[in-house]
Amino acid sequence: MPVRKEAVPDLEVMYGTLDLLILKTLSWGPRHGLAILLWIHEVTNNRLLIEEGALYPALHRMEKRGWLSAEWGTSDKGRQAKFYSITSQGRQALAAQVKRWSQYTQVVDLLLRARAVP
Amino acid sequence: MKDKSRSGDEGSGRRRFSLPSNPSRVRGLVERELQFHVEERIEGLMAQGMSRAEAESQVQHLFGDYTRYREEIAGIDTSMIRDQNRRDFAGSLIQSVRLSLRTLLRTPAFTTLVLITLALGIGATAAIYSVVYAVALKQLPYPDPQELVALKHPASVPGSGETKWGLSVAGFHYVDTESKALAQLGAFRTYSATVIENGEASRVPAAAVTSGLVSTLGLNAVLGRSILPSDDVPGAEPVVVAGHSAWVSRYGSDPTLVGRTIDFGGYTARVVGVMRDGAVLPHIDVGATGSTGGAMQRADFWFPMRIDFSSPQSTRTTCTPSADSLRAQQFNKHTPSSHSSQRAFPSSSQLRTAHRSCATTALAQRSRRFAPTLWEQPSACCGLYSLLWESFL
Repeated sequence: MPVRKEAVPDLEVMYGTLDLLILKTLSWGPRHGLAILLWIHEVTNNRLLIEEGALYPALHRMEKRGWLSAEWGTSDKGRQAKFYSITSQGRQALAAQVKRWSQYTQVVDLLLRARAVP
Repeated sequence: MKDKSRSGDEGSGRRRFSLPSNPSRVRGLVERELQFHVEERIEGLMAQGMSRAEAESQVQHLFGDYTRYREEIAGIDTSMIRDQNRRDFAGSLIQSVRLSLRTLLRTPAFTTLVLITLALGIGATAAIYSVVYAVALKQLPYPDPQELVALKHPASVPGSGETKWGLSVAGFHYVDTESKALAQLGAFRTYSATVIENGEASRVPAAAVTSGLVSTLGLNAVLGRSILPSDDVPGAEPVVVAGHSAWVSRYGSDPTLVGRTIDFGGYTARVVGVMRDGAVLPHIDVGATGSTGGAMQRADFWFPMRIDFSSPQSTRTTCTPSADSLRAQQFNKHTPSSHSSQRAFPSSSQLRTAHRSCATTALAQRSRRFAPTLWEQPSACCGLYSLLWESFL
């Protein structure tokens, strides 16, 4: 596993980004917490640093906000697991966050590409 | 891992389903969820060839502070459940109200009947309560109001049954000298007096009180002095205490009023003081229950009520300033009062009650009551007065 604990730089930023990643992952269908994590690792080629425990407060916070709904179900190994799925409110939030993320990266990009004023 | 094959939005009902309604169950569920993650992760790593110990320490490292996350999640869930319960309550409340309104609208006749019944019931209760409040609950504006009782005299009038009257002078004298239960005793009467000033006569509310009443009801003066025991005795200098409102409105709060002599239509009295603001007398229904009815009487002038006890056989009050022509009105056995007086006082046929009243229009009626209403302040037990009178009779 390529995750290094000391590499978690700033929890605040992590949480915000984590919400976006979770919402995007769940937009493909309901998953339990571990499945979300593994899917993110798979898609990003293990390049994202996520402290695994941090996933769950984020999930519960979004459930409280009404972005996710949760239900107990059975995993493929027959264990009881809590499955999360995205709500319509969550989809709206996802759209808004995606937009904000791309705007943010664009702006940062602009700044980084800017040349010094002559 | 397996998708639940339930896609799309889950309603709030489904979401609620995943929550325990009891916050104490939250921690267990959080524990179960996190344990699933940890176990699966360990098994996954062991499948890659790690030993159990290695996998456990690796997962511990990857997961972070397990206890801190568990507590954080439990906190989130607890507040979520609290919010949810509050929403459920509000929702069911609204639903119940809606249902009731719809049901009521479907049966307008019944609804109208219920509304009228409720309105009448509430109205009647409010009316009764306001009477009870004024009569029984509202405190009298005197010091230690719970200790005050009105003394009356049971008497029967042919044809109208048992009633209670105000005490006669003899009765007042009797209670004054014989009673052990009363701390203080006073008598008062209210009437209209005539004031002549600058050649103009006007009628004003007046009261005659004994000096005992002054201390019983706290009728103190703000200026000069109130009525003293020395004013009470027959033959004392005629004095008067001005009421506070009369002092303000009639005399413009002039402090030199004290010492002035005022003409009360042939009876002059020297002003010795100004009564405190808010000094009132209760209106006592002597005939029936003896309740004060909440109404209070104001007086512009307060006179001493002089009761001459020196000769019980010819008791007289010289309480009020009025024409001497009214003095020594004789009430003997021809008057309705003699019947009861006889019952109360064996010698009442000889009891001559000199009664003078400035309220000449109410003379006949007043004669029955004779000496006004009495107030007493029992030292220990109040409400003894009827007992007192039973034994007296």
